[in-house]
Amino acid sequence: MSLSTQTDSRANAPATSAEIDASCRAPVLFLFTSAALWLVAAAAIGLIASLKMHQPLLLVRGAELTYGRVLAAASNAFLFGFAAQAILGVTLWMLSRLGGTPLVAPLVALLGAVVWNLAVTAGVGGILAGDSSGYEGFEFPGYAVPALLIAYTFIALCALATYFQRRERESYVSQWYLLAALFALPWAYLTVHSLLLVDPVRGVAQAAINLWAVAVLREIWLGGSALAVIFYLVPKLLNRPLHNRGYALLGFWMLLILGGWTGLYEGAPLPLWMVKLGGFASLLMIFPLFVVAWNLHATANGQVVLGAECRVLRFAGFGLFAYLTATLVMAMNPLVSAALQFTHYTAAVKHVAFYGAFSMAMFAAIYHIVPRLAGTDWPCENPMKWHFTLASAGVLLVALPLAVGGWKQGMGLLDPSVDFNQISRTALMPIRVSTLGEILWLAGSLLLVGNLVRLLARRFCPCAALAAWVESNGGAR
Amino acid sequence: MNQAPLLVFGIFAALSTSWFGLVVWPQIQLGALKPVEIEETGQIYPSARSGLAQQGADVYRANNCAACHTQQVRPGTDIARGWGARRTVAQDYIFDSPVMLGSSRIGPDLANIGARQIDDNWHLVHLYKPRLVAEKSVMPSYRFLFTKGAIGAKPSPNALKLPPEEAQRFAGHEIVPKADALALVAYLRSLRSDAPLFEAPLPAKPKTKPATLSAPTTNSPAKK
Ligand code: HEC
Repeated sequence: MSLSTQTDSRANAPATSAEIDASCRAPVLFLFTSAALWLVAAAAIGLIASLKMHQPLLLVRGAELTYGRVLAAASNAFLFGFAAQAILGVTLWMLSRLGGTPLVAPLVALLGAVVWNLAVTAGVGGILAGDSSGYEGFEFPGYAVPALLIAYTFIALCALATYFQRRERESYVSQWYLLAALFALPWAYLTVHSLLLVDPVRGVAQAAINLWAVAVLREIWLGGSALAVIFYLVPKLLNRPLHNRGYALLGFWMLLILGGWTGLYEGAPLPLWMVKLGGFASLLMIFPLFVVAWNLHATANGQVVLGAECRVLRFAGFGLFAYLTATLVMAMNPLVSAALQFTHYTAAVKHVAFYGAFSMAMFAAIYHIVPRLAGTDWPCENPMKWHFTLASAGVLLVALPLAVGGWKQGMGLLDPSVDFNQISRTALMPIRVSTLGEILWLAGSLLLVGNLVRLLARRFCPCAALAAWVESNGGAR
Repeated sequence: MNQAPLLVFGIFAALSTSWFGLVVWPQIQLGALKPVEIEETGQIYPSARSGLAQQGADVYRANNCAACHTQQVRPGTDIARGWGARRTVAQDYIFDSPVMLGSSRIGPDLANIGARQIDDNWHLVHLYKPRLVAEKSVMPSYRFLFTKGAIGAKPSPNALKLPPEEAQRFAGHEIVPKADALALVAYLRSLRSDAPLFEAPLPAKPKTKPATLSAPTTNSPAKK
């Protein structure tokens, strides 16, 4: 559909970037800052878990810090503390910018974000206190969930209202992915909450629901949001139009239809047709993957950018590369799962998807968006450069050793004559190396918080001259 | 795609395909599974857990033992490794809630630990300090499930029977499991899925393809 030529009245003309950024400022900066803080918390707790994997005698006096609880706390802090808030921040800003309309009801979104943080705190605390729900990926105890969903509704309604009021008629790929993500999370969580916690279904149907919900989170919520950011930044920073909208649509719908099926694995105690269909869907994921890769490749067409935006693009590029790798490897899962399903190999692939693909794309978005909201540039580029170096090295140092260790573990498990403890021990060295990766990642996350704090301190110090200067420069979109 | 309601509707439609397949349909196919009578033994399988074992499941959930242990036996090498006499199927889990299949095997599969390790004291000592019974184990110690105290006039009947060198270190003291530890062991003892089922017979006849779960409600000799 093309833009209708002259029907737009003056009132419907797109708002200026400055207006839009001003409307987004409070909620989005709050979401990003608290996301970064949760990222540090998740990384710190994750580091404890990683240490405990090879130092089982560390911190064993209290129940709160036992390995299983720490692991679940770290992953939920990452998913709902960092990921959810980063995605929501990106969603609010991008839907406003791409729709050419100021954010609707920013204070409602801000209120939602505050409640969200309280709910996540209760959830993570609940896990450490032993109230975990027992469902992987959704371990928050039942009492934290209603507040979580209500807070989400506040923010999501603002996003939806903004989308429905948009003044740019033509919609863009990033908007589709973000809207899908906006619905996918509450759908998955509501399903888990009502069918597993409030009134649990019986038996192994629970596992099917859990596997579905985890796959939806991974593929559509995290993966889709990462793609939204990449599809936004690559054409924008390279100053080139998206290569082909039709292919983007194809990739989008295929991801939505296939995504939820990809959590199943060979040998699960579920009906065979389900497992087979799941494996088939995993293999089919190659197609949306290929379409996305090719579309972005044709869009970029060998362009290079320099300067600050180049750093942003580097995060996005790493994210894209990791996304393609992780999705490709996951698509191959039906072929290797007999040997590797329950080993560190699966953990390595998940790490690439969550940290290499999703997180790096979100860092790109944060580094791109925050200066626009604050109306001032990053004080200094070096910390951003260091964040990139530490984060990418961290991802690789966790994923590669775990993949190798998992491979060895899988090969060992295939041979019943090899003693199990022997197998666990061969994986110890790679796990030690992965701890190093976790340390680098934590350092990178601290840098992100430091960067944000420095920028915000500079912007919001009570200095009139600076503020005036900022206002006059806020218009650059 | 420029029509917002159409886009939203499309997203719902696309997401609901996998939702129907993996959330609604399993309910229809498996939601009505009931315990069945095992032909060979005449026993009803599975039977509900005792109250103590049920409490133990709660301890298992709270401490997320599933972070390192699966409870699912796949056909093939899992069976060769001795983790079960047959693969596990939907019938095995009908009394579990939450169902804790697990997704990582840093430790061995526990679907049949109740058939494999029947010594309560072994379990307790293992939980107290895994390295006392499994050399260089990377399983964490769960000593917060135990209390350590001086042996009084009347030694506790529940006190751990430790291996000799360890007992010497604790001379004059005893390690007594708390209620949670006893419940957890009762739960571990209850974990066994080795009853021969119609859809998952014990692999006496070699090379039969592991039966699938097609419509177990109609095919299996379900009890009325
Ligand atoms: C960090 C991972 C980890 C966690 C968490 C963990 N285990 Fe283990 N577990 C292992 C490893 C490794 C072994 C094999 C070595 C050994 O026997 O200690 C094992 C062995 C076992 C065994 C003996 C299995 C056999 O075949 O002999 C039992 C029973 C067991 N664990 C129960 C538990 C329970 C109950 C919990 C939760 C309270 C738990 N484990 C938590 C790693 C873990």
